[in-house]
Amino acid sequence: MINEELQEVLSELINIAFGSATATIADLFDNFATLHIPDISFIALADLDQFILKDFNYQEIYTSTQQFKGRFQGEIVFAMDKDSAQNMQRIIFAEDDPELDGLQNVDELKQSILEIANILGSSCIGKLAELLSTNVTFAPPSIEFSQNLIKDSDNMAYNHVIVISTVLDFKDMEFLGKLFIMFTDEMFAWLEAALEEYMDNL
Amino acid sequence: MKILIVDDSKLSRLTILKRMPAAIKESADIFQGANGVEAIDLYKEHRPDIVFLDLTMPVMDGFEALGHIRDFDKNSRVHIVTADIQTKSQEKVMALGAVAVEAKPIDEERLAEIFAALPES
Repeated sequence: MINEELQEVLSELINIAFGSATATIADLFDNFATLHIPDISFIALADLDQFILKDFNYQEIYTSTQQFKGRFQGEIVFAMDKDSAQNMQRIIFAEDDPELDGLQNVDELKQSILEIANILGSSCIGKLAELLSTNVTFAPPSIEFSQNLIKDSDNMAYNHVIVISTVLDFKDMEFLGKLFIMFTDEMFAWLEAALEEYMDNL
Repeated sequence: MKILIVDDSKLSRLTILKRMPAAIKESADIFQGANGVEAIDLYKEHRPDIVFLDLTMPVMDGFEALGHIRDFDKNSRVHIVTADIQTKSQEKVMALGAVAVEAKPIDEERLAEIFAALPES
């Protein structure tokens, strides 16, 4: 686990990166989002499923995953509950379909989640990478409608998870989304070194 | 010169402190706060020449603090330093009377420009 000082540095860099990602979404939909201070925590991959289920109060959740590669690499998981997914669907498709009623159109719902996950994840990680003086490329995101986020965690290479919890609070509706950044021991060591370098170069 | 830096993140306050021109840092009285309420209290107590104010903070956010500071002193010079780079947020703080919005992390060149643009006191 990284020390308290580096944790604080990482939290602030994620705060900046998340602000940038939120702004991209808000501006895209010509909406205004009140930013809340994201809550950052670190958990072991093995605890992730239980963490998510408990945090989402054991409701049905939707998750998308997206890999990023480069000197800094890992996988982003974005999770949201059903209400949040519906709210996002309304924001994205409201103009085209003002009579939109909940989850009737599953394709629209999937597209909405993927759109938001893609923007949020890539903007956030892209900005974080830029702050740490590196760059990353992204694989296309995929979507799961599942309670079981990490189906086969024993076989996954990742060891660490950074959890970014926040409410995206748009003018007329809010949605609770959680972004999980998963990476290996090797990447965790790289991240520590990159954070130390950031502090040294301040 | 008096400078007020308000941000709940110690790193962000440190970034501004470390990157401001050395001559200013050595000669100025610098005050720091961690939320909007502290911003208002410190402003009223010290009447700084310039304020660097974050938006997303606990207790009271920067939008509200900016409004109070502007109500108290129409000549206040408040630069918003924020991760919230939404167009609408920028419009909102400019309407409240901020001098400018600076995206985090602010760099040395921009800080030098800001201090160079300050009127002689």
